[in-house]
Amino acid sequence: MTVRADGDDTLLAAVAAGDREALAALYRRHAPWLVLRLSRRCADPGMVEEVVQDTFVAVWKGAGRYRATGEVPAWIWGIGIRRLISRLRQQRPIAIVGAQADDSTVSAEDEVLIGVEHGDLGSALGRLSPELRAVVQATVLDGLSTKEAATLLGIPQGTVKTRAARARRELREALA
Amino acid sequence: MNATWHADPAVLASYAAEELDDVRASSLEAHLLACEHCRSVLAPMVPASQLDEMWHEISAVIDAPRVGLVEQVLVRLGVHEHVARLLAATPSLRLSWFLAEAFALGSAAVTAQNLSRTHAAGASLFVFLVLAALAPVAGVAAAFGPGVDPAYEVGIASPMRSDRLLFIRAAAVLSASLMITALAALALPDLDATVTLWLLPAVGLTFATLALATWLQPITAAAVAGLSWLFLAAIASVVSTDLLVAFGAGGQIVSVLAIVTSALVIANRHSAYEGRIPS
Amino acid sequence: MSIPTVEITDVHKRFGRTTALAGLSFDAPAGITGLLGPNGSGKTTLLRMAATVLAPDTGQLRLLGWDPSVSDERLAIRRRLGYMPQEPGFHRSFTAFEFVDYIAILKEMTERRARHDEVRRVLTLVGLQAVMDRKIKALSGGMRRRVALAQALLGDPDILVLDEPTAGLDPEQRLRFREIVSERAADRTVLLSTHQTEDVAALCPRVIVMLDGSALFEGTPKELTDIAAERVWLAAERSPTARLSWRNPDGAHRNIGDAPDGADLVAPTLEDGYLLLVGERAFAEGEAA
Repeated sequence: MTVRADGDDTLLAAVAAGDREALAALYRRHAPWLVLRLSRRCADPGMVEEVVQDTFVAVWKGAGRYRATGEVPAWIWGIGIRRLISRLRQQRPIAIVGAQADDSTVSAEDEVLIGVEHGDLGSALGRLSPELRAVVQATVLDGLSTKEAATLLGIPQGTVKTRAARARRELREALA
Repeated sequence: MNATWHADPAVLASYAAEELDDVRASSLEAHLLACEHCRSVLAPMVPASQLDEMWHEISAVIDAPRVGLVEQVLVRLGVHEHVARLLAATPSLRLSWFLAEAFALGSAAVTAQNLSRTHAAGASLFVFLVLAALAPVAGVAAAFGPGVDPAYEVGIASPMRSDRLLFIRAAAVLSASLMITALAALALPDLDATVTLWLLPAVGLTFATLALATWLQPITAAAVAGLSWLFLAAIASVVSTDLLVAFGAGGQIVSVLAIVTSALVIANRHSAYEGRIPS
Repeated sequence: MSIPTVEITDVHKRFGRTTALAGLSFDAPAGITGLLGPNGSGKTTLLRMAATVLAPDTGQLRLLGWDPSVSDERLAIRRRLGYMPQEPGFHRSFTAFEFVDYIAILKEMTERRARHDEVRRVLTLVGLQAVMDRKIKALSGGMRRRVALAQALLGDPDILVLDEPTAGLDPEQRLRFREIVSERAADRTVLLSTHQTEDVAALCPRVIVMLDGSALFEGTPKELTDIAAERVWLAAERSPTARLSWRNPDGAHRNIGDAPDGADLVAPTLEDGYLLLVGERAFAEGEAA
């Protein structure tokens, strides 16, 4: 099996043209981190595997819809997390009312988190309770809407909002 | 795009083992979205067998052949998926064939409608009825055999029994044909008993073709059945000066007899369908 | 020779006034057996019989110990058989995957998921995994042949019957084909016919040479080559005692036949042995007429 040195954008364009080997190459590059990242949001390994599978099938079918912004991993993550959420929605029927989630990739706040390991923000986050941290991860890091975060975490939307507000307050106090 | 900072491989390993704390894990995830280098260091840390299995499942979905319209309809009707695929490979069960049949029969019915108050009323009705009776015969001829099945030789060498294949296809062709004809018949001038006169002859001719196919190639059997019936119908109408005598009471009885006799022949000789290559 | 899996005994077949097989007999064990012979020698007719597609007029066949003239045994053979005809036909609007899937259904693989896995497996074996979804009419001749080979490999058959499988393939494709077949042949039986003596030399531990519907030679490639031992020589021009002769690219004449004293003998190839055998027989018949 030849190792392709093409960039993700090139591979994705090839996938859009029906190149199966290109999809296999994208899979080898991105499936590993996707599995791990999804596993941190869903404790069911079977569901994680199914979501990863669905994601790459969706990549195969929807490769033509990707607009070359150089953010292929983020695009793949966007598909993956939304697949997970829709599966969870089917399992736990929560009444979701409201606007559709927009198709944006991960928000810019995550840039801040690079190098947070020994910084103030890191320890401040570390002092939040796990529930608050989970909400921060879902809404900030994963760029999910309140509705989506609610489905992912299995809590009502109202709880997401209050916890997010509390997390913001506590972080502001810790960093002040 | 690569970040200037790279994660410590030990941290990556800890993340892969799901032992890394929340804060650093979140930070790492954000970094991985932007750093190809760290992604490639992380990749071998996920079990290959798991990744291979998932890829296997993905392949199964993306490689699955697209299911044509005819196949989808058949599966909806409760036909087994593999039988539906077999039928889809039949030339006379393709959409193009249905359209051709519908067009021919539709035109004949409409013509009969237009000519219904003229001298040509009987003749135009005769044409429609003849086409309706012969349609399934033509369909069966086109469903099987070396002339129309490109993979015929390979098919013979396969374990599937020829008679089973023939019956499946003939049944499908006959049903489809009857439905199309029934629809076309709605355009006939008088929606009375004449609308059903073609039914028994059509079924009778199909059975006769299948019975003859125990001796002859399907195409030849169809030709023999179709043409000899046409010939006899023509003679009968000349002798009795009634154009539609072949579809009258006598014709219907003959059709029933043909169905019964053919069924007996087929039941008796069905192993004779074993494929033959024309020498 | 180990236990034969294919036994052909005194088989005759006529088509109208043409005699295709005139008392053909040979045995083939597990492994690859090559059938060499000119056009009209009856190779295709014989292979069709081995594939249970044609029945002999007289004579007996036994395939894997079963008799194809008995209905139940014929079915048992077909379940363990893969056949690649000389002129493979395809439903041209099918994709490669769909066509092989269709044949898989004819081979009684009714369970969809297992069948699709098997179709993918054989198409990958012949190197067509990248074009599985392409329509057959859009595939090159060499690729179509590989589709035909793939369908013969479905179900991992115990007996493979391949009629001129390398016809029209370029040398690289032929090499690839040899790899695929030799891997499969370990404990299975492969009967293949070819015009290319190089295929036989490279692939077949056993060779049958056919002419005019009967077997002229049955043995190893070395034995066939040895027929031409000391009967091949180079000369400046065609030699009067040569049965066959042609000019080499470098100008000398390669002669096959009874070498005169002091001739410049060269080591024979399989092709030399084959030509000598077929040529002599044809020559002898010409004299007798």
